[in-house]
Amino acid sequence: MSMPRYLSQIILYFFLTLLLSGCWSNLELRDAAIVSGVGVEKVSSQRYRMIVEMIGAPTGEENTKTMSHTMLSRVGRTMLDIAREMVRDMKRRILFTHAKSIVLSHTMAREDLYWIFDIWVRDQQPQLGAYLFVTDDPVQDVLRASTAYGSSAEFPLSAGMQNIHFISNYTTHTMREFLRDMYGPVNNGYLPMLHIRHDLSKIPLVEYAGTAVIHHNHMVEQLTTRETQGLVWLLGQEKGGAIDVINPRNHTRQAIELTNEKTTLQMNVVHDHLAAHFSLHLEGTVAQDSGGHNMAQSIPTQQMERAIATKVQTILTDTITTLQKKDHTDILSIGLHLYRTHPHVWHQVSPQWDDLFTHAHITTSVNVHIVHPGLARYVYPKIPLPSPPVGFLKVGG
Amino acid sequence: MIIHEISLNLDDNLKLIKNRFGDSDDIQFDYFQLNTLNSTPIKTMAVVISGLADKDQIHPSVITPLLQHIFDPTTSILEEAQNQIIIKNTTCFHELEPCLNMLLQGGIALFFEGLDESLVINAPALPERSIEEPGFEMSVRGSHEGFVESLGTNIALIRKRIKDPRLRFHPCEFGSITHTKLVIAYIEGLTALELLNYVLQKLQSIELDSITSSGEIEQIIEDNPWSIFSTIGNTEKPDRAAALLTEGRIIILVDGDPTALYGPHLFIEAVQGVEDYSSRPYYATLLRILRFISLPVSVLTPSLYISATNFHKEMVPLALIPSFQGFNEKAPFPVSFEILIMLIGFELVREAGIRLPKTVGSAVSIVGALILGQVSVDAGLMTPPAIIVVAISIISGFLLTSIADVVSILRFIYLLNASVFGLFGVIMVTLVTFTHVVSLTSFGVSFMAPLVPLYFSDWKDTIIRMPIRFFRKRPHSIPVQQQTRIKNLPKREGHP
Repeated sequence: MSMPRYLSQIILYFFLTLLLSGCWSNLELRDAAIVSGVGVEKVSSQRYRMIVEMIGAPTGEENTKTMSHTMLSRVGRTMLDIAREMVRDMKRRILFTHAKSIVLSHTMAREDLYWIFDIWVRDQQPQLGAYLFVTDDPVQDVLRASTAYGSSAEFPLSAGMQNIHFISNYTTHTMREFLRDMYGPVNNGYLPMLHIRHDLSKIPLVEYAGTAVIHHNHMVEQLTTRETQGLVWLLGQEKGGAIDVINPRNHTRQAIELTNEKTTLQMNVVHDHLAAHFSLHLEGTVAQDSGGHNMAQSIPTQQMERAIATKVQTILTDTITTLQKKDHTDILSIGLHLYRTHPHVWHQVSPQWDDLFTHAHITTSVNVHIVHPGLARYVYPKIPLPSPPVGFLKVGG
Repeated sequence: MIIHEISLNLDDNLKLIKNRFGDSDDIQFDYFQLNTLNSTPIKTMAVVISGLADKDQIHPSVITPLLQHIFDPTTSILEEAQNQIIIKNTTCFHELEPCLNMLLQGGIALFFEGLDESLVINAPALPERSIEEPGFEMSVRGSHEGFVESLGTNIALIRKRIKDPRLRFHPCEFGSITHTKLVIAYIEGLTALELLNYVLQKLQSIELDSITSSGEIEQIIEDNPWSIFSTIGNTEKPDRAAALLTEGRIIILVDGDPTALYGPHLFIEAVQGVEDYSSRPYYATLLRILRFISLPVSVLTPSLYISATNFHKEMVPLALIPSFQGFNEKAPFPVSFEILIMLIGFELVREAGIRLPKTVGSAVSIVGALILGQVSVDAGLMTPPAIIVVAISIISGFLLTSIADVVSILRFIYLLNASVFGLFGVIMVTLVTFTHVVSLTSFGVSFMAPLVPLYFSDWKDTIIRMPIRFFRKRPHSIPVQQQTRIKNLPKREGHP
């Protein structure tokens, strides 16, 4: 290729790129306000309040720097309006790219859940790895209290979701997973909930507790922590946690730490009647046994396994009963499973799926297997030590 | 050019010589008479350029033996003179111009009254510096010798490392004014003929007034003169030049320049160090991996920083946002401008450090550290993240001294594109650079070999360096006539 043609091509590509690319997206950090947390609550019909928590520059002297958090709130009819109006307060462009926690009031969740999703799904802000929460408490208090101990920039609500997997009685649902449920065939979903409680010093703390059940874009009810645990097991999302029982023989407390879980679902739809069976297999190690049993032997182990299985079964049954009889909402992925395995059947029954689910015969079976009894086989000093042999050297006077 | 015949008359010859050289002070004329059998002395004129010829040789080896001999006028005076002169490297000329050319190369010209021929004795004593380690190719282990400006010395340095009669030095001369000597070194029977012919053809088509350095030859004969990547390598170390010759490459030595050119030159050699083969393979491999990683780090760090902070803020970890934002708010300039100023400042300091005398060179580091670092931050002109980014980029670039120029230029290109287009621009420049680099050739050989085209067997000596016993054959990337390099090695105990 000759030199002039080479140069002319370079110039042409440069100008084309200049026109087609987003060089106008250049925005200095000083001209942007980064949002780390969002709260939305309903004020009145068609009017909503959005509260945003912005990450600020460190303030204070060199050795005592703290992160400043700026909270803004605005009322408006649409998300776009509110975000635009906030620019007048902040004097800089608001970016939701780092917003990993979105807290919705329960009123919002019950009445207008799609109000908040529509613009964000279209605009692709915030990121789909963000977490949605529902709260009964004032949204502003939740946002403020969640960063009460925050000396670093990491937003505790979202960071805490990474740490909470091991306790397993809380659902860690990301926005991506929730939107997949809401835009899926069943159109039901669930969201984790937050509550404010006070510690001994009366300082408000935000607690992860409960699950909001979303039925056709509206929150219908909430599950307790116990029922949430059952939900986690039924969905096969167990990643850790512990189960404790009272040994019926000697009324001592025993606990296992779960290390593995497998849930299988079998279902059958015959003449508008749904039957489903959840098989749950749990594995764990002995975490606590205050009864002093020798867990190396099989009988105490089997007794413990049976006791735990019974407790798990009870929790599962309670969860299913709540979802069927009270909430009438299938968030157990039974409908999704039917859609994936038998789509033609799904299309026949989908208009009356809620009814089908409410009257479905759902059973569970639980199998618990203790893999390892732990390091200690039995606990001293409840088992008496053997007497020393005759002639054993006495120590001391 | 007019060729003058040597005159029978000494005065005419003197006039011709003074016509050519003018009133130059360094042209010396010595007159003496040769004794003959018939007592009729022969007037003789010796012409020498002081500083080029060996002054200590003129009288004891040339003039004194001639004065002590009695010449027979019936025989050839020139033959008798050649027999008497102790230095046997002599040439006779009928024309003046070639005689003067030999003078300019350190010869002593003798003109005899009544003879139309001159006798030139080759006795150069050109001033040259001693052999010392080159400044830009220092090594801890291995030879510390370096090439000098004298072509003869450089040839000898290579010759003493390759004691094989097949080592050839093909002479050339360029420059109608400078008459610069150039030598093409290769090993006959090893170097590919098509490679040799390619180089000879390129050199033979050169016609110009002057050549003063090897860099000019490099820019004239390279395959891609418009590219920022140099496709002809250079070295100042004779041991490295000898190693390259044994790989089947061609070395070009230019008189007056200690830098030897070599080709084909591959891009991957930028990550290979001077003493990689003297050291054990593990540390050599570690260093090569470090250099390989330092190339993208050095080139991309400033542009990625600008892309992340200005265009794609979601790339910035949440923990860094407050500090970045805090610094950014205090800075008076946009981030792109900050980085640009820092990079320009560093280039100025680096260039100043090279050019300044050693006595004041230390002041450059003080100025650089204080002004570019501490003071600019304290004054609020620059932000610490920008300084850290530039520092990481610059320090990574220190590992790549052989392509320091390319890294500097690419850094600026990436910076400009990232400032305008963000990460899209960075990716575009990367694609364009890759496309360009894979199209380059060095003496007809692909510049990106053995990556492109893929010669997998050569990968044992690219980014990693396997032990030497694995190098049984020469790299496929360089065409050679003989592939086998190692025929036999001592066996390890217990191994077949």
